[in-house]
Amino acid sequence: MRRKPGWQERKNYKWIYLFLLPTVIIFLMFYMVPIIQVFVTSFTSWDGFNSPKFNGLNNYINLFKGDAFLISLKNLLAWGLIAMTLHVGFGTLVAFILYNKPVGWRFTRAVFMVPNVISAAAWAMIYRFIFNNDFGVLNRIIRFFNPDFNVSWFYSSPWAFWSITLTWLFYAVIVTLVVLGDLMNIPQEWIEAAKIDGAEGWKLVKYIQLPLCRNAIGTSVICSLTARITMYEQISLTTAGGPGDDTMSLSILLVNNLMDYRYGRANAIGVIMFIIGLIVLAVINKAFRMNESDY
Amino acid sequence: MKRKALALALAAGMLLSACGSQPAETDTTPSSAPAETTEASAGTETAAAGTGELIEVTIPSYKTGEKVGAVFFEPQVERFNQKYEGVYKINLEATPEDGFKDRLKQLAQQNMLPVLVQGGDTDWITNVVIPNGMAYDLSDWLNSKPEIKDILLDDAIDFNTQEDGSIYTMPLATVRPTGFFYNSAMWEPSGDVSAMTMDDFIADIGDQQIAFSTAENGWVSALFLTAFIAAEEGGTELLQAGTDAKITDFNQPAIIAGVTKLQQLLQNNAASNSIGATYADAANSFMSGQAALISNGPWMSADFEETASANWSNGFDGANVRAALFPGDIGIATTRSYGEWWISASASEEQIQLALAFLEFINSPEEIEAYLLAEGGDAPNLTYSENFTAQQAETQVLADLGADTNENTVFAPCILDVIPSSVANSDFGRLLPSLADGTYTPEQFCQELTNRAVEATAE
Amino acid sequence: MRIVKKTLTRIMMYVAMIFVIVISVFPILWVVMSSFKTNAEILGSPLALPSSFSLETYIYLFQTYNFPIYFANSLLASVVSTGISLFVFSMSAYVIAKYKFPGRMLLYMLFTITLLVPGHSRTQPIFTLVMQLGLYDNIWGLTLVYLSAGMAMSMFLLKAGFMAVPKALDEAALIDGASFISIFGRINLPLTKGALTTAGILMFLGNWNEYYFASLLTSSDTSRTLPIALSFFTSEFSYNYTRMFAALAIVIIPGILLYAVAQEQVQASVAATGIKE
Repeated sequence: MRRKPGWQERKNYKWIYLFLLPTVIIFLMFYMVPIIQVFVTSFTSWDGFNSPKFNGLNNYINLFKGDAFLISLKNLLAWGLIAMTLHVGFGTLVAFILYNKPVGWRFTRAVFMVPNVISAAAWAMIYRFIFNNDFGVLNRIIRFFNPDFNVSWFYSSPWAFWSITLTWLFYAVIVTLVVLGDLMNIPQEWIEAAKIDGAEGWKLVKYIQLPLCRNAIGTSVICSLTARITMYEQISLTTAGGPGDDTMSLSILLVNNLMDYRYGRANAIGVIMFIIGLIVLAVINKAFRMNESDY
Repeated sequence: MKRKALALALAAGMLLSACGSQPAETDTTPSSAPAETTEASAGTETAAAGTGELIEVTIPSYKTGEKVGAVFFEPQVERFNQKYEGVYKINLEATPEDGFKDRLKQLAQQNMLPVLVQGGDTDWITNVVIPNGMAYDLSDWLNSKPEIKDILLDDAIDFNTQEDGSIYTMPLATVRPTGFFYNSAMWEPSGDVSAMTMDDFIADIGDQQIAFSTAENGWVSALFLTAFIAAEEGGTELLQAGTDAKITDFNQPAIIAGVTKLQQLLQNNAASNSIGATYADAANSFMSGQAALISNGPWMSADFEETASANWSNGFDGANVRAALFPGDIGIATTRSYGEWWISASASEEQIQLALAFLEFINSPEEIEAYLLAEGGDAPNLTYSENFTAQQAETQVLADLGADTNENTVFAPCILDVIPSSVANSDFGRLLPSLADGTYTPEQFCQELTNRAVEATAE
Repeated sequence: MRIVKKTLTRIMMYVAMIFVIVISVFPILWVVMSSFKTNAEILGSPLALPSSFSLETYIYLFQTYNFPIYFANSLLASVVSTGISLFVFSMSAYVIAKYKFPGRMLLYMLFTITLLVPGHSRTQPIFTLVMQLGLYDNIWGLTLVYLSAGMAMSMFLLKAGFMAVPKALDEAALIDGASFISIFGRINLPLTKGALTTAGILMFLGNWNEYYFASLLTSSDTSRTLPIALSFFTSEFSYNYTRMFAALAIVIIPGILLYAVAQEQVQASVAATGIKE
């Protein structure tokens, strides 16, 4: 794949950089300073008002000494794996269902986006009404079978972790739309040809459609993983990271540090989030060969 | 452009003063496009009316609109405007409370603070506003107005006075001790609660249910815990000391004993929805007759007025609600704190005059009494007028609290105010469910809090 | 046997679809339903139907607050910023997806890492910028800031979208003498409608619900957006859930309607140009 750009491509440089320019300007205006600030102050002790004092790697060392931080990393890993498999899997499944155009597929596709309209604060209230021990929907259903059932889903181990997981697990509209888009882009002739070769049903999916949706699935994995890194309100407005540290996350820790005016350490967490994000990007790009096009 | 905007702002200002009885926020003239109002909202316009000088400012406030505080505050500003008609005028700009402190910080950096500033983070005021001279020094003015200074709380003046004698935020004149409310149709204390010991009180409650909250910052639970700690030997002093240096060691006998009582009540007396309950859930279990007791500030009295009856259910009747301070006559209140208002040092001379007039106005005996009648509380240094006590008696719960508040009352700051912010806003509520379900013993709970607090304050 | 298997698959398909519909519609219905209940009903029996039906709350809200102005502001800020940034981002996603040039991965990395920039670190630089431009408390200031929203997400989606457009088409057009711009505008953009719609809708919804910068950069009633108005109904020690849910419905429902219209429009235009989605 790697080769020196030919004259044809170099001739395009003018256009290429012109096309990039507006985004670069937006980047410089709104993100450059914050990113630099986060990196630089992560090596300092800074209260946000007075000038920062350099303290080397102290913020990082202290982070790795704390239980909450390590649990956050562990949670991120667990949630990441669930996101990559079940979440993306569910979204892909729905995409394949819609691809067959059953009755009402347009409606389903449209309606799946609707949960994204509701703000996080409203969602938090809805979750509470679902998972509440006393009057929650979930326990009402369970008590139908077992009247003595009692679990405070958000507030007891190990249920809290799974309750938080349920708040996003099935809301996979982005995955569905991206995968569906790629599915619909597969030239009909290719499918026909495969069918003539005897590929049918599951085989067609496995050998033709899934590989050709590779880019879309890779994109979905990246989106859902980065969403797990930044996930904040879903936790802060429900368990706040509890019980104990069961549902702690990097973003909750970051905000806790801000409350105490420890911007240096908060930004060290920010840098770690950057690094994790970049690793995710690099690994998934490689794994899904996302820089190569099939067409 | 600037001049044009100013002219428009002047015109708008005159228009506003022409129909002065309207609340400011409903007064949006559709003709004024966003760009034109920029100048006005910076709160720095000074309108020169035809006769005399009308000083007019716009100040953002979150005690507006739907907020409980608006019921009293908006008409109060209106009374101020009426009193100084043709001289001073304050327009209120409704602002959401969420994010307001962040905006203040940014405005301060741009030297664009409103003339009168409402609140702000305590740490920010201490570390930025005061050292950088952003606030106007009130000490000379206060010294020239002994009638005001004498009304203010001694503790508040002491807290606000800097080493060089300057005072930057307006010290409070009133204290609103928080006790608890009870539904007398369900439970009545066997005697005067303030004379009981805490153990007698708990025995007296028996198996009555208490509305606790553990979500958010665990507000209702924190109030009870504060009362329990304050009732212990040395507990009140411990809490009070926390206003100057935050508590980071929770492994102290008074706190452990308080947590033990809290755990006991959470396990035996908590209303069924308490685990994971927000403040709203707790209030609802009280106002639906599921719990007989709840702790909250006196401002909750508004919920027991007939006008709020839409929120009542299951035959709950606000008229049955009574209030008391905690056993040992403990009232939860922070007297050593910054005041609600301060003046921007960059305001013009006239604007400062207006702001001072406003501070004087809201601290006049009539206004303080009106405030106490509306929102409860006590002004210890004020001699009440005759009909004040009579009027206060009309609101049962406020009268109850008023009767309990006297020179023997022990004021203890709420525990959430004397521990590191992240522990107060996040860790305390997060750890409570585990205390309630017995995962943590009181000692473990205190150890967890200590770990968090140490981590939050370590360099 | 085959028939049984086929029917079973059908049934499973519809079960999954119904599940998706239920989890998506339930929250909205619940919000709207709650806006007709009293506080006590919402907290006491959250799932029950309202005991009475009255529009009083909505009338109160519209009489007391300038919802049409907030609505217009929200619409302006979200639509204009989404339109511009969608175009801008699609240009760079296009060249990143289809061309090789020095700095390609670096730029892609920088653009996508913006997703992880903590909000608190953006506060001060953005406030200063908007202040210097004289756009504080001006809906255009907010619109400008919203241009930067959704950069990473759009890059992900649009890059994937452009990569799915066959290179053969570009090459054929190039042989026909098409310019760089027309290959982008005539060939690639129309074929990426799906990804553009998804990215556009996500950006639009993000801006429609954005609270923090709206609260930071606006102060007067005339430049307020819907989420700010909504926050008037939540406060720490008081609550009126009925009004809050009604206000929420006023914010959500236009969002859904706009989204539905946009979706329809795109489908119609796709049908008209005869391009397969």
